[in-house]
Order: sequence, then structure tokens, then C-alpha cells
Amino acid sequence: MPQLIAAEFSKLFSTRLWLWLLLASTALVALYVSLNIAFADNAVTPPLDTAPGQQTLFAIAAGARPLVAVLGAIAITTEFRHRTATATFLATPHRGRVVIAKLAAYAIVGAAYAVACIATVSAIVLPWLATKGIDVSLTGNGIPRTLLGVAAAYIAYAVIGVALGALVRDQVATVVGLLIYLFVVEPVITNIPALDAWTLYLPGPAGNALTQISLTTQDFLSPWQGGLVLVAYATALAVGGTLLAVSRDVT
Amino acid sequence: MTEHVNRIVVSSLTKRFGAVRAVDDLSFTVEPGSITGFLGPNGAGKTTTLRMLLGLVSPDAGTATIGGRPYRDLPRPNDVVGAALEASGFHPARSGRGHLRAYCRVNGYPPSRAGEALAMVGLADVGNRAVGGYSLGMRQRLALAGALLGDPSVLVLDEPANGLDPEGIVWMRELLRDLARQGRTVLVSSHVLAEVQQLVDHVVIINRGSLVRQGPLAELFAVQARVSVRTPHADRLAAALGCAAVERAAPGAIQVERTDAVTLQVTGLDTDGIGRIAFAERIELHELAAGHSDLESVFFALTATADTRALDEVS
Repeated sequence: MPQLIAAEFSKLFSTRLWLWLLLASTALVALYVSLNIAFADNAVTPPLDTAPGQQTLFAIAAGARPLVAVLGAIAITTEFRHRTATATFLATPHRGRVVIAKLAAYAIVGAAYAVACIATVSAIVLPWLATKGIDVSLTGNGIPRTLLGVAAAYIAYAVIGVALGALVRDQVATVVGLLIYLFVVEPVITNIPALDAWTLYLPGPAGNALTQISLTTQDFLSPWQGGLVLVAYATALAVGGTLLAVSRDVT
Repeated sequence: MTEHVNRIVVSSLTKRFGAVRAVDDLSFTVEPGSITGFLGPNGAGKTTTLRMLLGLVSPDAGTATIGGRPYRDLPRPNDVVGAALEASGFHPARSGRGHLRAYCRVNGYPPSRAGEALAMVGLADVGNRAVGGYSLGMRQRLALAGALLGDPSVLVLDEPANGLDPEGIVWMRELLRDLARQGRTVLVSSHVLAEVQQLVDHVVIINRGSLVRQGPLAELFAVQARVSVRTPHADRLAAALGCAAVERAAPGAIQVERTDAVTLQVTGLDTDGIGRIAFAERIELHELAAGHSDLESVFFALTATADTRALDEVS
């Protein structure tokens, strides 16, 4: 299994996609956090010299997590699109092991993206707030818990992306479907208060539950509940995707 | 019985796609130490058979084993079997070397093995370029390099000569000959017979998913060689040959085709046999010539028999 996971990293690093998506992710969270500091005097963001205000800024580091879902989805669908699945399954005829290796590898990739996005946010928040006379400590004000939530959200989204890709197989359908869902469908339906009782369990709100921060007025599950909901999504998709990968002919 | 470690055994393999029987109760064996051509027209079921042999497609019935085991049960398949199924299985943005390195990693081979395999197929200079810029011939070579990564004792190659220039075909022939001489099993599919005539020792010919013939190439030619006979008594000779076939209790074994008033084309008998019958029947012969026979004509004779018979009946 370590060899299979190493091979996934070998595949990842032999094209440039990871780099472009990493740059996009860090740019995205840099933009979000900068806007939030620049326009901090609004009703939504708590004051920046309070713990909730600072937790909100660091939770923004989780904002690029849809992109790791896309990366994970591309990682597995590209095997079918470019027909490398043939060589991959010839090397590892037990196809479930391939899916598991990809899930594990992209959990690690998700964690690495989280670290990069947290570093980006820190590099903006710490000096900027210092100019406002606010001294932020990464180890205080409940911020460590927020950062753990950010990392968990990235890992969960990367794994969900891989699992969804295994299930759908078609690259365009998977990536377009993911983007439309995460950037259009979910934001719309989570803003309908009447549906709150159900939309709490969608991936986005479940991800927000990990950091206990959101810029909407929706309530949260507890971090544990949110994490379990995301694990349930990933497991269901991965089991379905693995069963399909094992049973379908590779032609 | 102990199976030879490198023998390929296909047994009653069947695969349906909807109503189409792509492969129909197909059985054959491939022995080590020689090159076996797996031949048939496009759509005959060659690729589906190879994919079933390699565990990529599940058969509806039958088995395919390598050294007595199904591919999926081989503990480290790339150590034993090298397969190149298509020249298109590459990520266009990945370099040839990058592609091979990923599969070195899977198998625990040192990364340097990728460079060795590239050198073996003549791609050492372009290994660091993205595969998207490769020609079809270069992709074929890269696919072959992938098959050779694990130094396998069994090679399964689907249309490996497709896209190679004549020089490349000669090169590949030499490479595969060397590999077979070392005792490896080499199975090469093709629908272009001119490519493989100089290459293979044995043939397995299929058509519409079923076995047409298997055996040594030389035997195939001996059976199927055409003899051209010129005689003023073409009718009498044709009748005599027909009787000879009946006497042998094999009416279809000798086929006689009349091309003009004085010329017959005979398959199923060599020049000695025809001469003997003509002498016994006191038939005057003006020419008795073993026709030039190539795999292509043999192949057409074998795979098109049913169609031409039907046409003959109509006309």
C-alpha cells in the first residue's frame, strides 16, 4: 500500500495541475481574508480584537476547499479520460486497492493544501492586524481549534472528490457537477431558512461546522457531527465508486 | 499436471456485449520461447480476448490463465506479465519518463528502471518531453517500454506495430525475437498480416470471436499453399482431384478453383500429390507450379471461406 500511495504522488507531481490549483487556492483565501479585514466594520464579521473575530479570519482559510475536491475528482477521472486506468489496473489488478491508495494520497494532499492556505492567511492577518495594534497569537483565542477544523475540512473535501470521481468516472461531468453544486446550488439552498433543518447536513454546512464559523446566519452541527457527516459522504461515495471500479470492464 | 510457468491457456472464453458475441467459446494455448501471432480482422474479438486474459474485462464464461493462474491472482503481475494494450494510455501533460516512473513506484522498481526501459525502446532522448507531443510510433514504443519495466517472462502486445514506420517494425521484430529467444512467451495481436509474417512462429487466427486455426506458421502455409495447374483437360483433372478428396474422406480438404479454360488453382494438395493423381489418370499437364503464398492469402482463405461459399452459391 505505501508503494501505491507513493505512485499516486508520482502521478500528481508529474503534471502541473497541483501547482496551478495550489496557487488558485492560496490566491482565493488571500482575497477573501483581505476583503474581510478591509471591510471589517460591518455587521457580519465580529470585531477583530475579539476571539470570534480572529477565529472568523482564520476560518476563511477553509474557503478554497472546493478546489481540493476538484483536484481529487480530476485525479481519478483522468485515469479514465486518458486511459491510464489500463496500466494502473494491470499493475494492481485488485482495483479496490487503487481507489484506497488514491483516497489516502489525496487526504494527505488535502492536509498539505490546508497548511498552505493557513500559512497564506497567517501571512496576511498577523502583520495587517499588527498595524491596527491587535496582537494575534496562533495558539490563543481558540484559534488552534479553528485551524484543526480547516485542515479537517480540506482532507474531507479531497477525499469526497476522489470518491465522487470513482463513482461518476466522466471527468467533465464530475468537475462541472462539483463546481455547480458547491458554488451555485449549495449557497442558494442553504440561504433558504425554511430548509435549514435539512441543509445543515449538506457538505458545505458540515464543513463550516468543523470551524464553527460561517458568514451566513445558519446554525451549525457540532464539529464532531459535521466531521461525521463528511466522513459518511466520503464513505458512501467511496464504497459505491470502489464497487463500480471493481465490477466494470476496463475497455 | 504442472503448468509451465510461462504458458498462456485460454479455455472456452466467452464474452457478450448485448446481443453480440464478441468472443465465443474460444480456446487456445501460447507456448514460451516463441512468438505467437494473434490474428483476425478488425472486430474479430482480439482486444476483448486480451483484456479478459489480463483481468480488465470479466468473461461471461471460460477462463484464461498465465502459468496456471488467472491474471488477477498473480501476486505481482508486472513482474511476470508485461502488457501493452494501446498506444493511447498516457496523460498528455506527463513526460514519458514520468509515466514510467509512476509504474516503477507501484511495483517497487528503482526509478532508474524507467530510464533503462526508455533506452531499450529508443526513446532515451525524448523521455523528458510531454507525451502529448509524441508521434503514434513514439507512443507505441513508450507502451512497449511500460510492458518491459518488470523484465517480464510473458509479453502481451495488442497491435504493437500499428503506427511504426518500416524501420521501427524491423527494430521491433529484432527486439521481440531476442525476447522470445530468451525463453519468454510473446503474444502479438495484429490485423495487418504483412507486419507479422516475418515475425511470428505460431499463429492463432480468430474470426467473429471464434477460433479459425492455431498452429505453427509453416504448417499453415503447407496446408493452405495454392498450386497452379495448367492442363488442356481441366475438367477431368478437377474431377480426379474431387475423387481423391472423397477417397480421403475429407471432401472439403482439397479445393479446386477454375480460373480459365486450362488453369486450376488447387489448395490442400502439394505439387507432388497433384502430379501423382494426374499421372495415374493419364492427364497431360503443361504447368504445375507451387503458387506464391503469403499469410494474407492464407488468412483470407481461412476467414472468408463462409462468405465466398455463400457468394458461389448465389452466382
